[in-house]
Parts: sequence; structure tokens; C-alpha cells
Amino acid sequence: MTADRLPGNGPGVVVDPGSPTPPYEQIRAQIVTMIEAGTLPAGAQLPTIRQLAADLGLAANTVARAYRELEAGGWVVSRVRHGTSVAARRRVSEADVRRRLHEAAHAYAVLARRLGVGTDEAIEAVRSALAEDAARSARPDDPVRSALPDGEGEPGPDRPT
Amino acid sequence: MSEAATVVLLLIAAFGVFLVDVYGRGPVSRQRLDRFARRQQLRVTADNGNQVIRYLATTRRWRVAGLIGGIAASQIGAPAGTIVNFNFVAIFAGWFLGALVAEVRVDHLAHGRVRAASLRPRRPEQYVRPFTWALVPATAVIALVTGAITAVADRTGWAEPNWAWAGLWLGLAVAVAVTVRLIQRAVLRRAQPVAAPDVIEADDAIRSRSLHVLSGGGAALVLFLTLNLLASLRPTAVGAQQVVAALVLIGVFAVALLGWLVATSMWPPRRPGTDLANPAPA
Repeated sequence: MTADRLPGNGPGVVVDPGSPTPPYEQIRAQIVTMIEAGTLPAGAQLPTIRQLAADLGLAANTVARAYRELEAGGWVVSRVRHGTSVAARRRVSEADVRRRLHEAAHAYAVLARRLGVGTDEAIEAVRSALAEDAARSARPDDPVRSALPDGEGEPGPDRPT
Repeated sequence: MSEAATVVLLLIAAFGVFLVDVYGRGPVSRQRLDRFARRQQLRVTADNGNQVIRYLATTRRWRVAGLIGGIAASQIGAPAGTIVNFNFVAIFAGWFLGALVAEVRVDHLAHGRVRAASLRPRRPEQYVRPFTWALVPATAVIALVTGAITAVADRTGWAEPNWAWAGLWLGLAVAVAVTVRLIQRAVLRRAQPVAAPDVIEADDAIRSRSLHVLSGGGAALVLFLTLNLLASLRPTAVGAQQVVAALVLIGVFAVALLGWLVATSMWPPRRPGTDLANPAPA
């Protein structure tokens, strides 16, 4: 669940205590989505851990863990007396890339199985999608490419780490 | 304490209980609500009206209780032979203590089952002028400088301060400043879950009014204690004691005026961070 824009409140996050996803992960995932979508631009200040924890009715440790994960992933930077802000240029770590790739692949595998698609057909669909994407990203007006942060979406060896 | 003074104290206590019970728990007047709305330039609606009334009722109850406590404390500290004693600083300190307790006890907006919160950071400048926010630390510095002057005057023989009292006033002034700052920060952090825009506006208005009262009242109390510190200086030069006494007298009125002006000043909360695509300066 996400709340990119809360009416009258600007960008915001929603946490469902009944969800199987831990609250810190819900917060992390929504902030990542907003940074990727540009709702939270580079330099945007995030609330303090205590403020967000109070507003969400969560323990400060929960929000602190979400912020730590965001910082470790290069999404935000924290400075003493300046608080936490969205990183100017997101640095994608190899571990983060592998983790996200694995999550996407796993979700795709689950979908393919539910649709009753065989392994070969599923892999062929991925190959086809990758080829289409490579052809599209070669075009300068590619909307997906322009929406990604600097460096992301480039071929592996050039990706900042 | 004489028997007559004890009777006065009991009368104050009885009157206080009556006042807190009848006035403190009674309905909030329309004028009071209008005054709050005018100062904060808040549009009171059917959805946020009760929220503001609850805040006004809580602060009024605790401030009245504090005021009565201050009057009682003033009477308890009455010099021997005095039947009725009004120590202005004790009475004001009692009122302000009630105001502090009220800010701790003010209800915040309730959380729903699904928790939602804005990612807009809450900054002091949204709720008070920079001057107002800086006032309490500035008065703490004034208290410390006055303490240093007292020490230098003692060393050079220019004054013979009563260090028992001077130390007490200085310690109290710093303690009050620190306490007020901590509570101001707690007010800024008070939970603000996502709600309808008019409810959020009322919540911001309440936060702003709380910070104004804490800044004005806190700065005034620190400065009153600093004036007490100054009064315990006891300069040795001929005529200097009269100069200090005149300064203290003028200071009491000036500080009371400053505190009142800050606490009651108009200031609609500003929300520069609503659009994070144009973030407010850090």
C-alpha cells in the first residue's frame, strides 16, 4: 500500500499493521518508490525519525531501521544537525541490484506458474522483453530511461556502485 | 506562618478547588474560540471545532490550577508577620508550570487502523517567527552572562552578592530554559497522522499557539529569575543599589510586556514543505 500524495499533506507513507510485510519495509519500499517516481526529488528533506514514528504511531526503532536501510541502499543521506534528505545521485550497490533482480524474477516465476506457462516459454518471454527494452533504450526519447536516476538503467559495467 | 496567614492559605485552596472545578471544567466561551481563530487565522469548521475546544479547555484547566498553586506557594513563602503575600514571580511560575503540564497533556490526533503520515518535516519556522523560537535560548544566555557578571563583581569587590540566592536563581533560570526547550521540541513532534485538511490546519494552529505561549511565558520566567539574580547582586558603591533596584523594577514591566506580546502574537502556520518538489531550505 502506498500514498504518494496524501490530500493536503504532500507526499506521505501508509503503514498497515496487519500486513505480513514488516512496517519498516513498508516505509522503505514506499519512499524508494517516491524517489524513483520523482515525487521525492534529490535534496528533499525527510522528517526526523521521531516525528515520523510519532505520526505513524510506531516505535522510533522501526522508522530508524527503515532510514538505515534507505541510507545503506544509497537512497538518502543523513547528516548530523541537517537530518535526512534524498541523495543527490543514487548509488546502487551490487547487493541491492542482485536483491531487487531476484525479487522481480521470483515474482515473475510465481506469475508464470499461476498462468500455467512452461519454463522455456517463460524464459523466451524474458529474452524477448529484454531485447525490446534494449532497442527502446537505444532511442534518445525513451521515457523509461529519462525517468530513471542518473546511472540506473545503464548496462552493468558502467553502473555506479 | 501565623494563624491568620494559614487561614488565608486555606481560603486560597478552597477558592482554587472551586475555580478549577467550575471555571476550569466549564464550557469554553465563544469569545475564547474566536480569539484563538483570529490569532491563528484559522477557519473553524464542524470537523475541527471540537479539536480546538478540547485544546482550549485543557490549557485553561491546567493554567488555572497552576495559577492557584502559584498563589498558594506565594502565601506559604510569606515572611513572618505577613498575613497576605503576593510574590509575583511565584504566582507567574505557578501559572507557567500549569501551562507546561497542559502542553504535555494536550491530546494529539488519533491514529486509524491503517497508519498514514506526511513526509513533510515539521520545522519551528512554520509555527513561530525565528525571533520567537530563539527567545528562550537567548534568555538563558542572558541569565548566564548575568551570573558571570555577578561572579566578576564579587571578585573585584564591586559587589557582595548573596551567593545562596544568586546560585538558586541562576540554576532555576537555566533549568526552566532547558525544560521549556525540551517541551517545545515535544510539541513539534506531537503526532500528526493524516487527516482532513481543516483538521490538519487546526492541529498546526494548536501547535503554533502552544509554541508561542511556551516561548513568551518561558522567556519571561527566565528573565524574571535573572532579575532576581540581579537583585541579589548587592553592589557596594554608593547609590549603586538604587540603580540596580530601578533596573529590576523597569525590567519587571518590560519582561511582562515582552512575554505577553510574544505569547499572544498572531501567526498563521505556514506549510512550505507541502510540495517536496520545491523543498524548503534546510
